[in-house]
Amino acid sequence: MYNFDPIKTTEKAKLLFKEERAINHLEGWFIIKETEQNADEKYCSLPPMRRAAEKFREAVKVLPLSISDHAIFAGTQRDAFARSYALINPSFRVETFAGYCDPTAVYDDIDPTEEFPKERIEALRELDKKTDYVKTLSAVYKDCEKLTGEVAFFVEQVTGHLIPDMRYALKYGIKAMLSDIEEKQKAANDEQKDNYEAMKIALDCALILAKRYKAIAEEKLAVAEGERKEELALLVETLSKVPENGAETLYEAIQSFIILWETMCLEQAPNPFAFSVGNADRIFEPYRANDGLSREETAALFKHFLVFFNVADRSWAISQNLIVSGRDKNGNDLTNDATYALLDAYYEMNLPQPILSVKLHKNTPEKLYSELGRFLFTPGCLTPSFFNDDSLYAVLTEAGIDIDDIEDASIAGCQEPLIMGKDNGNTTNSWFNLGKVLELTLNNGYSTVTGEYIGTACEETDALTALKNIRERFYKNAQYYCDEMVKAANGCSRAISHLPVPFLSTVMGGIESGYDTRDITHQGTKYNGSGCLIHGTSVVADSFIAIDKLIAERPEDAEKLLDALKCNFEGYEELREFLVSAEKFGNNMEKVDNETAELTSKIADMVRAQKNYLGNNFRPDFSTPSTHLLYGYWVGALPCGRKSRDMLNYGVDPLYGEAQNGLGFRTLSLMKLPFNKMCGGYASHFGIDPKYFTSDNYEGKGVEFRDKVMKPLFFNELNENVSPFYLYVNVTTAEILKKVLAEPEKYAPSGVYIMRIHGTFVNFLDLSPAIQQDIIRRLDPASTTVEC
Amino acid sequence: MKKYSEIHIFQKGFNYSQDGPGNRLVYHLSGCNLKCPWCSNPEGMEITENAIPLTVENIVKEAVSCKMMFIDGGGVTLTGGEVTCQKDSIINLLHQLKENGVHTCIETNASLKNCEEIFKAVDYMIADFKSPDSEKLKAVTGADLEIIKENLLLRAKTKKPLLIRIPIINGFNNGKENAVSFSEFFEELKAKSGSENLYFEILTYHEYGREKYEKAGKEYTVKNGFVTAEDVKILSQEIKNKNLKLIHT
Repeated sequence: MYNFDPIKTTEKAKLLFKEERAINHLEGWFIIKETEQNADEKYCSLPPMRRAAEKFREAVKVLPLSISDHAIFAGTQRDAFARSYALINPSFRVETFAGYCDPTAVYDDIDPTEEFPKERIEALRELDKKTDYVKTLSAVYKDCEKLTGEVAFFVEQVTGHLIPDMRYALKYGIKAMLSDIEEKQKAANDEQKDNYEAMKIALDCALILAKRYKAIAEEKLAVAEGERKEELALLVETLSKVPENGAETLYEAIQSFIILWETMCLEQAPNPFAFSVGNADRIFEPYRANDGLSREETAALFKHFLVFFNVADRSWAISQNLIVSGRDKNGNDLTNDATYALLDAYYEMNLPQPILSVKLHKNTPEKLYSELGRFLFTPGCLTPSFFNDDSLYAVLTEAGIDIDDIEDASIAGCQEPLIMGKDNGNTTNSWFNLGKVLELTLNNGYSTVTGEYIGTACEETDALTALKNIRERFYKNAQYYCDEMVKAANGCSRAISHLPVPFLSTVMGGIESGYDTRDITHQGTKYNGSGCLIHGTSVVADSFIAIDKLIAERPEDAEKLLDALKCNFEGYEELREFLVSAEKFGNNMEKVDNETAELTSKIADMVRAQKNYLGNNFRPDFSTPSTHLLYGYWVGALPCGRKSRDMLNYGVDPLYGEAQNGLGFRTLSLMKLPFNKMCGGYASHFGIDPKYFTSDNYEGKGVEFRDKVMKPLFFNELNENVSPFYLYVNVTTAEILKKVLAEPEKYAPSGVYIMRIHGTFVNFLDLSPAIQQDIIRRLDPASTTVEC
Repeated sequence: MKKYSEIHIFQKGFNYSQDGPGNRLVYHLSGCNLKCPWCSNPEGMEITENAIPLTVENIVKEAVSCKMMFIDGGGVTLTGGEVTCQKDSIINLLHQLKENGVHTCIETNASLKNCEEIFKAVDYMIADFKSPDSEKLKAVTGADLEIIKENLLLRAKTKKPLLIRIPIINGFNNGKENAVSFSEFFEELKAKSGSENLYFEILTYHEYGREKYEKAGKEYTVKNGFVTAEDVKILSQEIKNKNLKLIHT
């Protein structure tokens, strides 16, 4: 085969990314939707899954395709995405963000042009409004708008957010999958037979794409010269082989993966957000080993692979997670040569997507920590998210996952653990705002933000009695809102089932089950659940403790507290100071830490007991992907002293500014939380000053990071509970970030300065100002000091 | 009794391996008997109104509640300022920590008399040894070399771990002549004490204290204190030549 020169191949990858970043309009998704809409009548007599597949095939046939002169692989995700994601949109404002309630709002994200005039856009929007999907979803939102208006909870239909298992398709090719389907059809019922037909059509879509790309490559080959000619010849030859047949070389495997991934995303245009790759090092290592490629050669190919995940000017395909390393069920380390090559590719390219995650465990080799040092300590470089694989085994086993499947636990989107190809977690289905529930509990169901009546399940009572019984009343209301939330969330899942995903289903266990991944009456994928992102644990627990203090020391001020909350403490500054002086989570203080743990445990149980559309349990996920800001904006003042509209605590972390005693004490508080119950995931962030790491090289600093941060938190032999299993960090200071914002040309000459916000990383310079400021505030340096 | 039950600190937090073995809860005690111009914590030189008074009882309680963090043989480290300036309370604290199963460590300049009980009680001791030149040491830091030598011998004779740290500073204690004097003393210490638990570490000059000095309105008087790799090599070699254990934490 043609040998790619690592240096030249790297240069091409960089040019390819530069070219991608210059694209400031995305219309492919519109063409797909329009083509599908136009074909709707033609296939209206078919069962839903087949109809979806046929319409998709029509779109794949006409979608304009191209191959860049810098590309060594064919394929792009560009046509699957709209420029929609709010947090990287410069016009985003916390004050005006309305959630993603309107499924036709995406038509606002395409700028009218001569080819796509306003009338054409609006015509499609109107047609879309009449679809079963949009009608069902709109009805769900209408029913719960009083409760979602000020975000007591929020619900959404989940697209993307899954981890396909491409390994079988890569190894044996689509031909083998088609043959498997034929075999399964023999014993299938009528519905399954139809579904299998749909899957065959969907798989054909990938073959169509490959053929069309091959034709383009052949055209280019006819006029190419020199090295490019050799590259294109290889591309033509490869596209003749994969994804139809199994891949043998790393190059073929990557090309096959790209076509499969593109097909999967196009099927969900314009919303395939947060699909994740899974354990990429394990997916590709057999092919690398077969080739005998060196680390540099492997990294060079991976650089092009990584560029593929970046869409247009702001990398609009967000939250695509790629994980490396980890262990098997016996505790053996699974780091391999592809792991290190992927790390090299990530480091040199420093791209906003895909997000890098690393599974660590107590036997992770020191070499891996050494090699991670450069990511943590190079300013503006992406940093990986860290997962504790030892804990994942414990958490997922308790959640009912077979131990043999846990080796394939990976991360969908930001931090939600799912099993590659076997787990449809509907991860972002529901969002629960405990801060708002507390506000409504204290104020007899009325919002202190707007004065509107929203609802309560509690009897009205006097202030002192209400405060004395605050826990009981809060949990009663939490149960009421949780029940309402689940009804609405399941409504969203029913709505999205109107958009079957036959292609995705083939890599999510659909060939085994004969059912669509989104089917609401038959389970198409081995594991199924629905997610609930729980917000505000520590502000609520801090509030309980502050209320206790008030009752103990100033019971006569019970009424005054409720008045103070209504007017955001204006005129009640002394009372607020008294409340602020109460113990706060994050400082290793027994009472408040235990309160937070108890609250977390009770809410986790409450959510876990809920059933989704298939009768499977909801999954408690204590993460708040910037929604601590968005939902905090709708929460009035709270007894802990937090002011109205201020942010909630991030994930399971203390509210910023409340943990004042440094990293060790914060870690101790964190470790008291019931991580075994967080099977949906959770979020936690440390902003750490680089000065605490004194080694004079990146490798040494990486090992220091293990010893000072990861080991006490993740692999603490003295911790008898399930240890924390997730952490992301930003190793920087507010001063550095302020300088970057003031002089981006000086501190980020490439225009890219990668930071992490929740599970994803982003170009800090791409972010809206509110999110930039949030990142700076949440570095929260007093909570992470280290003595040295 | 109250007199010995209160300790003044200016800072606390965790660190791994650089202040004794494993992961440690480190208390910086206020007040120091010396005035080293390169001090990285000049804010701890005096017991000022900013010092935080903690009772021994509360420190013990806190340490016990932090036990889960004492991984890899960690525990509590008392540093400064100068720990022995609050010696009676420290003795009380060290005994109570020990009773509660907490590993103890101090970082000291070892320049005060009558601290035998501390040096005998503590599980791990880290001591500075700034200069083998008594006159220069006295002139620059105010310390008495003979007392330091006596204290180090006293500790070494317990056969418990003693880590001696040499802060190497250009113009003060670098160069071949100093290196030879350092290593001769260390060799003698080993011989007299018979301890196998003696460790040595070279700390190169840094200016972490400069900003703090300036913030406090004090003049930072060290000029060109940075040492070369050659300086470090010379001292390292001398120490190694005497078959002493040179480590890097």
